[in-house]
Amino acid sequence: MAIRTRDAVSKGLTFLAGLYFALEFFLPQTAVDALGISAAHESISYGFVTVGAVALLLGIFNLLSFHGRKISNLRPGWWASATLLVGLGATIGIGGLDWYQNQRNARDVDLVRSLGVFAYHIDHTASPLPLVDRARLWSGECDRIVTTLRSRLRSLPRDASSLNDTITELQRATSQFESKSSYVIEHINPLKEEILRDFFQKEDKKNYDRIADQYSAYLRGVAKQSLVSHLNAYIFEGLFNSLDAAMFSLLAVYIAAAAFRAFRVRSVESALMMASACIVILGQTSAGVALSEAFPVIRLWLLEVPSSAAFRGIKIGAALAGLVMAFRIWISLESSTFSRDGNAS
Amino acid sequence: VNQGLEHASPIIVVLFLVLVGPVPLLVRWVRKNRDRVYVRRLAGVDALNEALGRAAEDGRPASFCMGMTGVGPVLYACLGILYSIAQKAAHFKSRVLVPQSAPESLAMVEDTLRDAYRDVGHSAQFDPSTVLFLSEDQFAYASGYMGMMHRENVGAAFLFGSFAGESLILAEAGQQIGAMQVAGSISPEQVPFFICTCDYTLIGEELFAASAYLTREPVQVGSLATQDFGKALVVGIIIIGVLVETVNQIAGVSYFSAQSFYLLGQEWWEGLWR
Repeated sequence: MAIRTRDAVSKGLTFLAGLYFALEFFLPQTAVDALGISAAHESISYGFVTVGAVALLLGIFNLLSFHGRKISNLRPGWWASATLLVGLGATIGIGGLDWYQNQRNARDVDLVRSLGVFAYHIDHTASPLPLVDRARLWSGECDRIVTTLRSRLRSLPRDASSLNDTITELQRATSQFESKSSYVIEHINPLKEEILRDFFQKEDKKNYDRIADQYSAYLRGVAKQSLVSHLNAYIFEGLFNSLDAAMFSLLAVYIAAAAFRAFRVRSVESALMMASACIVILGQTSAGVALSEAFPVIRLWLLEVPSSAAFRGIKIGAALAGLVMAFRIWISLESSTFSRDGNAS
Repeated sequence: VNQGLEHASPIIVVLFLVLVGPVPLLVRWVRKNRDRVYVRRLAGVDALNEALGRAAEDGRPASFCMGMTGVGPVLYACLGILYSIAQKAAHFKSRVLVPQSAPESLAMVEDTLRDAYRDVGHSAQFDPSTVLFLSEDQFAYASGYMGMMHRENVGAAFLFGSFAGESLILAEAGQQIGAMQVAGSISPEQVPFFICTCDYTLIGEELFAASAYLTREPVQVGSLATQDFGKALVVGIIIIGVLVETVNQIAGVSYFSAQSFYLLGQEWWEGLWR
């Protein structure tokens, strides 16, 4: 694509994307609904998530290329890069396995729940299909789910004695459903549908929901005991959170060091800063209150009046500058800034 | 009123048009009257060259950190400064390390650096490995940055963008290795930390003005003029608000509250779209 065309396309897309958000904010809800902007909002949000995910891949690629080069050339500190890449691989791998395990469990629980939903809908959904056909469909589905669950149950550990009851109940319920469906298929009489409805009571759904909840709790328990789950917890709770907290705790020392530097009276401004900081500290602590009850009052005034005014001033200035910058990006005025053409203009 | 929280009231629409409308006009005016435009001197921006020069003399690299800045207006403001710094660094033949926390901006940063080196005729000097993704997590990023500062023995550290709790950790890392530091943040809560630890600090909107000051590019200077115009307008509104509220308080009446100002024309605006 020619540079000029590419430029025009990117400018056009930028403008359209900006226009969407401008309209979404500036127009009242009634207009947003009428123009179909509300309906598109979810898709656009998914678009952002997709772009973010792709960008994250770019970040990982950058890490791999930078540290990979460092390792292959055995540059100083290559071992740190190797540690980082091993950590990255382990986190992605174990996180992925944990996700897969949870997904599989959720799918199994959904299968159990779907039996109840299916049974309920056979009776309660208006359908052009006669009841017998619906029951036949349900029977087929029931067979498929029962087969899946049975094979899954065989692979699960059965040593959790408190949860054995749930598995037994599930097996019993699925067997009952099988026999019930067989009965329906064999003895169905479309002319006597009202009799057959007894087989598909509302209670079926409730029962299966209850079984699904128990089954879900059981699977969660099994998953928690797995090696993958232990490793995942070790990485995030054992390593990551602890290291994060350690970095955060450095702030306490750094704040003291920074305060010491700032409190050295070198000019009128630093003297003012030190004086106000002393008042705020005294107003905040019981020692200061014991010295004089005026300290908390002055402290409050300092925070609510001069400090607040300065904060608001900074925020208003930055917000205005951000607004102008955003407008420049929207109408693609900004794109000329960093290019040779822009400087020449 | 609830809808007003999510969607702009007519007053906001009018304010938006008044605040950003003059941008194209003022940009055009600046293009025609380049020599007549005066941009106030910012000591912190002048210090950028000094810091880069010192680092180059010592044979140490510079670093440009944008903290937790994601893609948005602040990033663009930072890229404008990075562009100028990279050009100077190219002249001095020194490296600029740009650790990143947002993967979305990685390509934009790399492009900006490449353009800067190319525009001063030093394309071959550009090394893409100086743009490094560290982590999206705040403190993981901070620890990565600290490690980089110590390993590379950075001589000049520039901290521009949006910062949160990690600001002091980042700035202290530069202090520990004796780097000359210039910071600029739109986060007012972090400004005191930078003032304590950095040699120069740009506060709030100065971050956006820095790029205009460095490049004198018409688009940026025109925008700066628009910001000043907007600020004057906001100050005017604040003064009127203070006067009205004072009269309200003294007379014990409520002629014109902030709520009624916000809702001015709301019904008409919504009715227009029904």
